[in-house]
Amino acid sequence: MVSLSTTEAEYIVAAYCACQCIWLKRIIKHLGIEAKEATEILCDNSSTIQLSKNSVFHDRSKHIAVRFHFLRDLVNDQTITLKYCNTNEQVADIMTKALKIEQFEKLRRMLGVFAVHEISSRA
Amino acid sequence: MHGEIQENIYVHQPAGFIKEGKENQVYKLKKALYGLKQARRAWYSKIEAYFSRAQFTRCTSEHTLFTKQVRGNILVVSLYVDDLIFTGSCKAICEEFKHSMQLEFDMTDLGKMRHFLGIEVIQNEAGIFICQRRYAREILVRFDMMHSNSVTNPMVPGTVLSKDNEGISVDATKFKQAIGSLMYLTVTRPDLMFCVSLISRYMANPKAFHWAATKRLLRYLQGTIEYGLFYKKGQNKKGQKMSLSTYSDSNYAGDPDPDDRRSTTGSVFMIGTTAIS
Repeated sequence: MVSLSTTEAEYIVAAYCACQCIWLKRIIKHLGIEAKEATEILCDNSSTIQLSKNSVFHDRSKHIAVRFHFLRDLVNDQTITLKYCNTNEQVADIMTKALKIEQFEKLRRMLGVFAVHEISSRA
Repeated sequence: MHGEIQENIYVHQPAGFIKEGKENQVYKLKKALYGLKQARRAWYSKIEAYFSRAQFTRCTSEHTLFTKQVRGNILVVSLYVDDLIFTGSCKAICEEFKHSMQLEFDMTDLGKMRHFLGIEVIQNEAGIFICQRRYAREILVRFDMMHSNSVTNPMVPGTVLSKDNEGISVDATKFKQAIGSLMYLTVTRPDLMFCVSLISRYMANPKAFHWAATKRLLRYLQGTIEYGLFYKKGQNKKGQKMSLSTYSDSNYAGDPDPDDRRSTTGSVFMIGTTAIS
C-alpha cells in the first residue's frame, strides 16, 4: 500500500488499530467487564485526529480509501476516541524505529517490561 | 486427547500389533489418533460439547475462551489444544469445575499456574509477572551467544539494512531458525518486536550484516534475559480499575533501505499500565 503523507499513514494505522480494539473489547466484555466510555487511541499526529472527526483538507485526503474511513464511523458513535499524545510519550514508537538508549529504556518501562529482581523488590 | 470420529478410518497394522494369519487386514479406528487429519476437529468438538453441557458460554470473538456465570460469580476457562487454564472469582466454583473435569477427562491438576506454553508466571501480592527466561537462555545457548558481551539496546539507531546482493551470504537456515525462535520470545518481550520484524524482512537472502544485526539483538537479549511483562494489581493512573487504551504510530517512509522506503506501522494495546498486544 502506498501512503502519500504522514497523516495518511497514521490514519491507516489508527484504522487498523481500531479494528483490533473492537475485537479486544468484545473479549473483555465476555469476561464480564464492560467499558462504557470510548477507548482511547493515542496518536502523535494532530492532523490525523482532525481527519477522524471531520473531512478536513479535502483536497489532500480525498484519495484515502473508503475502508479506512471506518475509523470515522467509530469515532462518531463513540466506540473510539483519538487523543493527541506527545511524541516522547508515544509508546508505539518502540515498535516503529530504532531508538536511542534513554528513550528506549523509558518506553520499555512504559510497556511494562521489567526484570525479575525489580518485581521481587516491589512486593 | 482422543476425540470421537464420525468417519470410518482404517490403519495398517502397526509394528508389534500384527496378527498372525491376518496380515492383509487393517484396523478400524474407534477414536481419533494423534496426527490424524480429523484429530484436531474431533478433539475440539469433544471439549466444546463438554463445555456447552456444563452451561459455559463460548466467546464469539475468541473460540477458545469459555465463561460461566454461577450465582453472581464468574468462571473463566482458556483453552490451548489440550492445555487449559482457568480462574474464577469464587474458590468453591473453581474446585467444582476441577472435579467435574477430572471425571470427564484424564486430567492432571498442576495447581497454581507457574508455566504455560513455556511462559513462566510469577504471582505475588503486587501483581502477575510473565517471562520466558528459560526459553531466552535456550536461544542464547543454541546460537552460542551465552558468553557474549551484553549491550543496552537491540539496535544502533540509524542502522541501515538493505537487500544488498553483493554481501557475503550466510547460512539461511540458521538465520531463519534464529528469527523463528526470537518471534516466540516477543510474546513477553514487546521491546524486541521492531528489531525482529526488521531483520525478518531479509530472511530470503540473508547477508553477513543481517546476521551481525541478529547477533547484536542476541547480545541485547543476553543482558536482559530476566525481563518480562508485569501486570500490576489494582488501579492505573486514572483510577479506573481496568481499562483498555491504545497507542498507534507510524514511521512514514522510515525504512532507510534505499530500495525500499517502506513505512512501518506500530500499535500497542494496554490494559491498565501494561501492554497486552
